[in-house]
Amino acid sequence: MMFRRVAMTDLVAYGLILVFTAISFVPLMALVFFIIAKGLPRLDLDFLFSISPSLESGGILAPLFGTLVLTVIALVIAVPISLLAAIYLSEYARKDRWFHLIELTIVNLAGVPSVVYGLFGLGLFVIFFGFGKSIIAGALTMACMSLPLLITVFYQSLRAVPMTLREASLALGASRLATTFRVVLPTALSGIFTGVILATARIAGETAPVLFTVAAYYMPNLPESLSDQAMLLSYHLYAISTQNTGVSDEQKYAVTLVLVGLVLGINLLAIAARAKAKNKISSLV
Amino acid sequence: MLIIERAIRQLRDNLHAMTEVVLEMLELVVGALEKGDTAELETIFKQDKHLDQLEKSLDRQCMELLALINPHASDLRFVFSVIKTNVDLERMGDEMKNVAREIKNTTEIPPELKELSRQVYATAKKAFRALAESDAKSSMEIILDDDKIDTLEYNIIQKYPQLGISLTAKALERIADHATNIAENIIYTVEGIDVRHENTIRQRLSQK
Amino acid sequence: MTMEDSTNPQPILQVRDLNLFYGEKQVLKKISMEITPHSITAIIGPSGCGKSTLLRCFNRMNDLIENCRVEGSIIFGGKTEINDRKLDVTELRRRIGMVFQRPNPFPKSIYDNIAYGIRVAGKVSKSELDARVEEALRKVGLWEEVSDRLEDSGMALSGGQAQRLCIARTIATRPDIILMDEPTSALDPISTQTIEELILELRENYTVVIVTHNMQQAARISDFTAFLYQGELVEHSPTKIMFTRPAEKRTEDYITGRFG
Repeated sequence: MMFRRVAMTDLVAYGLILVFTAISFVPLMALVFFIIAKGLPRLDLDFLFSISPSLESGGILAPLFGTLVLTVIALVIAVPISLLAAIYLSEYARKDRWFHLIELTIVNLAGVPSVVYGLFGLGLFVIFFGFGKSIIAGALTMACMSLPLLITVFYQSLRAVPMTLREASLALGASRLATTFRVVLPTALSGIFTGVILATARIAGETAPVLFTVAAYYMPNLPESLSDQAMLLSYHLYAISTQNTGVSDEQKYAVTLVLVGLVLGINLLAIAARAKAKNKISSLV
Repeated sequence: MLIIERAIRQLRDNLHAMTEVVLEMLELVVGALEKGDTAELETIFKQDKHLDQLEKSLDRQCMELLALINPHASDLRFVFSVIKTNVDLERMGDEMKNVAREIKNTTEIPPELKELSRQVYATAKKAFRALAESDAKSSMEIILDDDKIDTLEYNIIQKYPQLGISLTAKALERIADHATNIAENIIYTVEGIDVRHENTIRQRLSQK
Repeated sequence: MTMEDSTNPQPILQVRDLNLFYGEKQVLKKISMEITPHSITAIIGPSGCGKSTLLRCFNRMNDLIENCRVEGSIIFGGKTEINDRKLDVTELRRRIGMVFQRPNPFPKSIYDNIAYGIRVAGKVSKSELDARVEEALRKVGLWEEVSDRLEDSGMALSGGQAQRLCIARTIATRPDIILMDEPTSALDPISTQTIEELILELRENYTVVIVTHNMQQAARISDFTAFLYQGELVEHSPTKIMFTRPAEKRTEDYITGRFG
């Protein structure tokens, strides 16, 4: 019967879609479970929060601390700049040729491989400005790398604020500035928050840009100032996995687990925040 | 055709049906007066009943149109005029009943009365045609010619003291009055000007 | 609806030869009209005839639109030229408020929604702010309904309540004129009725100019009606006249629904 045939094709298509979804989903889950299974036994508070006297002895406080500090400083530099840029693009810029040129530039910057940022940071901050390999040079490099992402997300969340709210504010005699800071920004806040979290995950996980600008192969102590080098989780993992160091496999997997857990956790947070932002905006439209 | 146009068309058709009935009745009256034959006048009463029914149904139609379709401007003026014209038509029927009642007992019909009835008939016919054609110009003529009928009626009452004759003359004159009212309604519908009780406007319009 | 004997003959808005262009396209053509104080003027016309654009000329909301050009003059209150580029538009918009098509309360509390316009105008004491918020809510008949939940979000109100909140928000800046851009087109019939009654009450203290695509609404509440067609002001006359015997053929055709 005809009805039956239609139902059969439908079923086959449904099955295919399911399979393809699984293909993208299963490897990730497998990876995560594999890392957990291998790394979890080595993981304890002492491993996380002690400074290792040598590479082999474990204790990853130094790279963990380095990653946190670098991330925070990079965000402190990048977020205000990106926010102001996004506000300019969304609230003030005329939508002319210049606007589209800037837009194109940002999109292109977002596509630049991260190692290029690393080399750029090496050239500009480490050598030209003479910061040397230091936290400040690394943070500036990371900030540069996250600018396109932040500006794009901020711009989109500002644009998502309904025009009617801006009109209402302006019609009540508010200036553009007051409208932006009293109505548009508060409304876009959860979208902005999402952007920040996404950038956090990106910065925490990247290796290439820090390679030439900040990362230390091994330090027996925590960095003391912004001009010091620092160990970083991502680079630490790279180092112990590629160099012949005699670090145990268990320890490598534990470091991997911490890094993946950190990035994954932050990303989940971003997903939750984004859902909240969507809800808020859709209730306005 | 738009909903409002369909509704207005229907109203026009029903109004036309009523004017046809009134015209038939008037023909009967004029014929009876000419020939002095009052036997046929019995049908007047039957037709008046019919007219009453038509009046009620047209009223209901107008109410429904106002409530449901909300006419504006010329449409509104038209419906408003139909409501008023409806009353005039029904009154014309009533007056013809009076004529029929009075003539039955009158043996001798004076020639002036025949003339009056012919003129009333002509006026009514002209008014009904103006109504069908939304003709403001001939409506104005009807209003201006009303005086002639008044004079004719006045003369009859002066000349013939018999009650039956003067009552008949009065009833015929009133029929012409109603035709004049209808003419005024037409002018309001078409021009949006209320010419009732306004001699200056009448003069101005008649000069145009 | 008294339009015969207006006590103040000085018009609050005088529009002279107003032309408006979006790029090359002329949207408003040589519009001249006067708005009487303490009256309700309805602007009607088919979609795209420029009625909202005309309304937005009165509080310079067209400034937001890129490559929009305005010629001609609009005099407010007998002396202020609205089209003066040097005019402080924030002050102008406090004097000429606007209510929009869809209720658009800010995602803030009911209190903050009303206080917003007052706060951006300058510092006021808490007690004065409280008083003005209450006054505005009372004027739109919302005080009884929300006085015990002023801290709740303005977004939680029903459509009709939210629109009254938006009107209260406008009133709070103490305007002379309130512009309304199809204020009931997103509301149910009962809420529409409430808003219409409110608009009639507003006439006592304010001048109202309302754009509506609902001709019945224009007929019910306005003293004057302006009919706009393809950017031209075809007719502007007392509503009673407009809806019984309009002077222009095009008005007649539009009002009776014979358009096209």
